[in-house]
Amino acid sequence: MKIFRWVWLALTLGLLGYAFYQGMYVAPTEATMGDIQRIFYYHFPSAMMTFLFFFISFVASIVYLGSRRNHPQRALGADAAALASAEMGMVFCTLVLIQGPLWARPVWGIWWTWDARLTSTLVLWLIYASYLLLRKFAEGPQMRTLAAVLAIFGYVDVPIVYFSTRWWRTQHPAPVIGGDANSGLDPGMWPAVFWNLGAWLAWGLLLAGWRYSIERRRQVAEQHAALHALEASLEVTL
Amino acid sequence: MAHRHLVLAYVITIVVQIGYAGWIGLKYRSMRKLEREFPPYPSLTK
Repeated sequence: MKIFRWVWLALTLGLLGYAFYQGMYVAPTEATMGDIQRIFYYHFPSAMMTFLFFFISFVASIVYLGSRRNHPQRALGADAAALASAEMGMVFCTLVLIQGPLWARPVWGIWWTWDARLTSTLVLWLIYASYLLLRKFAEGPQMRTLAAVLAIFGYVDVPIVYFSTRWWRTQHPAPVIGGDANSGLDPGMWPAVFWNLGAWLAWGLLLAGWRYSIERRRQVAEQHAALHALEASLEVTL
Repeated sequence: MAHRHLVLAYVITIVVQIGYAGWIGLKYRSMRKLEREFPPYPSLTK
C-alpha cells in the first residue's frame, strides 16, 4: 500500500509539472486578456475539484446517515470519507477564492464584487468552514450526525454556484465551457485544461486518500482507547 | 501587474496545497501517538 502511494505521488508530481508547462508555455495567449488568462488553467480545475470533493462528502454523509444504526463500521468509514473529502474540497475552494481576485484585479480593475458567482462561492466556503468547525469543537456520534446533515444541506449551494452565471448576468463571465453557442475555448487551449484537470484530480485523490486512511486508523485507536479506559474503570470497581 | 498576479496565484496555490499536505502529516503524527498509547485491545484483535 505504501509503495502504491509513493508511486502515485511521483506520477502526480510529474503530471503537475507537465500540466504547468502546458498551461504556461504551450497554450496560446488569449487575445484580449493576455497572459493573465493563464490563471484559468488552475482556477478552473480548482473549482471543479471543489465541486467534486464536496459531492463525495455529500454522498458519504448520506451513506453515514443511512448506515449509522445497522452498520456502524460502514458508517464510520463513510464519516471518515466525508471528513477527508470536505477538507480537500475546502482547500480547493479557498484557492478559488484567492485565485479569482488575483485574476479579477488586472482584468476587471477590482479585487471583489458582490456578484452572484463570487458571493455564492463565498457562502459555500463559509458553509464548509462551519462544517469543519463543528467537527473540531464537538464530539461523539451526535456530532457525526449533525455534521452529515450539514454536509447534505450545505451541498445545495454547489448547484447554485455552478448555475449562478447562467441564472444571473453579473460581473463574472458566462461559462466558457458548456456555455451558449458563442462561447468556447480555442482548440489549442484544451490540452492544458485536460492536463491540469487530471493533475489536480490525481493530487486531490492522493491527499484525500491519505487523510481518509489516517482518520480510519484514528477511529480504531479511539475504540481501543475506550476499551482500555473501560477495563481500567472495571478494575477499580472490582 | 498581470504577470505578478499570475505568478502569485500559482505560488499561493502550491503553498496552500503543500501546507495542507503538511497538516495531514501532523494528523498522522498525532494518530501514531494515539496508536502507541493505546495498543490494539486483545478482544478486538482475536
